[in-house]
Amino acid sequence: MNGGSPSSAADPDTQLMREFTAGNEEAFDRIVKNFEHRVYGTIYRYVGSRAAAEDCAQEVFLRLYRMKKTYKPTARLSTLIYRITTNLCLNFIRDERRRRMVSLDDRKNDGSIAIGALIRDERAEDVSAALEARERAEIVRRALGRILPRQRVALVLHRFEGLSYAGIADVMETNVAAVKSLLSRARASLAEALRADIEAGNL
Amino acid sequence: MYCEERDNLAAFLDGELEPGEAERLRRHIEGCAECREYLALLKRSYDALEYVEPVEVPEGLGTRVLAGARKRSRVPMFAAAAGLVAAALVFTWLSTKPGVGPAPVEDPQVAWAAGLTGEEQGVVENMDILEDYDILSDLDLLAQYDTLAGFEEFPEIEAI
Ligand SMILES: [Zn+2]
Repeated sequence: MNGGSPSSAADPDTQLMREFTAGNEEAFDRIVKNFEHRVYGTIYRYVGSRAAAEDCAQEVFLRLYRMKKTYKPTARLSTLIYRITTNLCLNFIRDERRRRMVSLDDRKNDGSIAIGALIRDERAEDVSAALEARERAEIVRRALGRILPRQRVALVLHRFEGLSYAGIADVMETNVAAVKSLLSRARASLAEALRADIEAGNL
Repeated sequence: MYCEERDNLAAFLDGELEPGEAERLRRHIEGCAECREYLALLKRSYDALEYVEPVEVPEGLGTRVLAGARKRSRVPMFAAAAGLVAAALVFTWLSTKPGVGPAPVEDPQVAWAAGLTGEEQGVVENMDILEDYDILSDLDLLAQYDTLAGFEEFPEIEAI
């Protein structure tokens, strides 16, 4: 971990956040513009729902905005934003689970409800025909939804946001060895979840 | 049960192993059919993630984000006073409930921003966050949480 990396000083986005905390409101508009795609994309890949992604993205920027008076440039702004985003994603799953625990007393939940609830199970019907893109997307999203929360965070940051192991370690406030382990297990779950479809030639 | 090198294969594919280690593993893979097969599966399943639809940011998201952040960050005086009382209650309550709440995050700045309730001090110092915060609505859930002992929140956290 290198929270106070020297690179944060020269980073233009970090500089924008400094300007914002110094009273330049317009700098925050530019931060939103620069990061909305990354924030929304990360949440969408993680949670699998557009509505939830919009709500969570709003929350990420609200929380960043409220750092106006407390912000300290201890890390690059992108690291900070990914950190808020992934913590909210993890909270989202935790809250979903808890809600479900309370209402359904389902103790076997694996963290995939957010996605599971949004995906219809329509596989069996259409085995011989070539799978449509939408169906392939559903298979893959369902597999992603089965990956445990922290492993899934690491996977999304790596595969979709293009972060290195070191970058993921910064965001998740852990070390590279732990990231390697998270990703290895994430990819093992993914491989097992997709094995049958790969062997059947669906993917 | 399976080849012990399997756990290194993802990092090998990602080019995240030290050069010497990568070379050693490459030679192992040449001689290990099981690893070759698993490596192929890892690669194909990772490639399959391309089938996830491309993300399209909803139109007007930035505008809504900005409007929401500015609107929701304004705290009327009476709300701030109510927040102060609520924060004091929450602080007292949390202080008497060790072990309740999510795992702590190291960076207090982020712990606060992400709404992690373990940061009692942050709660008291940042009353405005209580305006719409999970923490108040979570009180009921946290109370019920006590009855859910044995529930594993993030089992994999311990494992790393
Ligand atoms: Zn092997």
